[in-house]
Amino acid sequence: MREEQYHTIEQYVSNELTGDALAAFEKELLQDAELAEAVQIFKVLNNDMPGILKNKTGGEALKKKLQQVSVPHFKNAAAPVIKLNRNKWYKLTAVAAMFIAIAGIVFWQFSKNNKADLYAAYIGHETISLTSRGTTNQQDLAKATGYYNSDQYAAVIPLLTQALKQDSANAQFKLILSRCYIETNKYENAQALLNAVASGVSAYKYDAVWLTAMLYLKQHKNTECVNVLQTIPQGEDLYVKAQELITAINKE
Amino acid sequence: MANPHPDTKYIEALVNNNTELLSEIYTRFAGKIKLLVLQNAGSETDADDIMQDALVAIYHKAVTGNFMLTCPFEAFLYTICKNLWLMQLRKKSRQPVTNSGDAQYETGTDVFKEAEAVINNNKRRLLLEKKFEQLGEGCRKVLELAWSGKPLDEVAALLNNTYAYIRKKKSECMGKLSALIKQSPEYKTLLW
Repeated sequence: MREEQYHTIEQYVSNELTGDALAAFEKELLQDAELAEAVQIFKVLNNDMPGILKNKTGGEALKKKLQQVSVPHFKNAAAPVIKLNRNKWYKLTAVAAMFIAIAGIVFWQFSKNNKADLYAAYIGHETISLTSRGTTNQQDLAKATGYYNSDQYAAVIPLLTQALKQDSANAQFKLILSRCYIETNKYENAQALLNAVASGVSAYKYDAVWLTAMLYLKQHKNTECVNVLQTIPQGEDLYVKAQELITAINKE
Repeated sequence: MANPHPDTKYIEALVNNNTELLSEIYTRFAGKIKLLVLQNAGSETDADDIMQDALVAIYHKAVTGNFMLTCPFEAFLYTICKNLWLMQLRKKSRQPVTNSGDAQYETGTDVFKEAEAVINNNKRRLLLEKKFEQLGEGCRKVLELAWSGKPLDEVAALLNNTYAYIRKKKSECMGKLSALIKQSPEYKTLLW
């Protein structure tokens, strides 16, 4: 179909054709099945797409909530992805505080290692499950899940890169892949993926912002890390953790 | 004209992301969905995924504003889950659902029709979303703004372009999108 025809179809479905032009188009419509089909698709697009785009974030937020709510009801239910185990951090904090109080280690000696510890304490690692979702290659996703859950980040990268080609809008894939890039020190690759998610309206937006902060923390770029953390607004799940981390960094 | 069923509260819970009622949905109905999937070559993870997909599909139908629940939510959810699982089994070429558990519900016309509307809406939405993502960034931007309800002259100003260019671009991009949709194998299986 030619570009001019698309323009006329758009005019027709927007009720902008009048008089002879309208009569001629309607006549053509009766004789041309392909044109009639194109008109119907245009109508569906104009009717459905505004709602689909508007409600995409709501759908993703619901999916996230359902993942949490369903956990007690199914064995092997996927845990929420890329979420820090707060208890682990509190325990580590308590241990670190006791250690400092008892040992009285000189600050400058501790400082360098502590930066690495902060990353380890905050990055967290929960098991994921990428199988049985979407139209991507399920065997590859099962392999990627296994590699990720056993910390074999480099092995996940080619599998998820391929999966993203088949499901380019999948924010969860992007987050997990960017985490793998961070662990393998491929910071630019991670940054590109995280920017894409963080700049959109996905329900994973602030998970991407958080991972961006982790990316800077791992490289000891504390100023950049704090700047990013400060963009997480009050009321978001990650706000409290972000504020804790800012305080921890400022104490260094 | 049919009246909304009292179980409409579950539909509202999906739309409003109401944690308490969403938990109630799982407490009351997850057991039967699990049984359906486990008895038909699936795992608990499959059951979890299917139930989640069904609830998200119901959400997307509900927010169109063109939907009213007139049957019990349990039978409605079960019918959608059964259909979604059947589709997955077909894709994976496993055996079809033999133990459907339908006998426990009076799956009347309302349940069947309402479930079918949700499933078709969901399949169409997934296809439209997928194909929209395959467009170039320029087209996505123009269409996103145009479909956000902004008048095209405002869209043109936002994109530093003329009204005439944006009008032409919008129809071109819709043309590209409809061509992508028509080329997909799912196209002929859906109601348009």
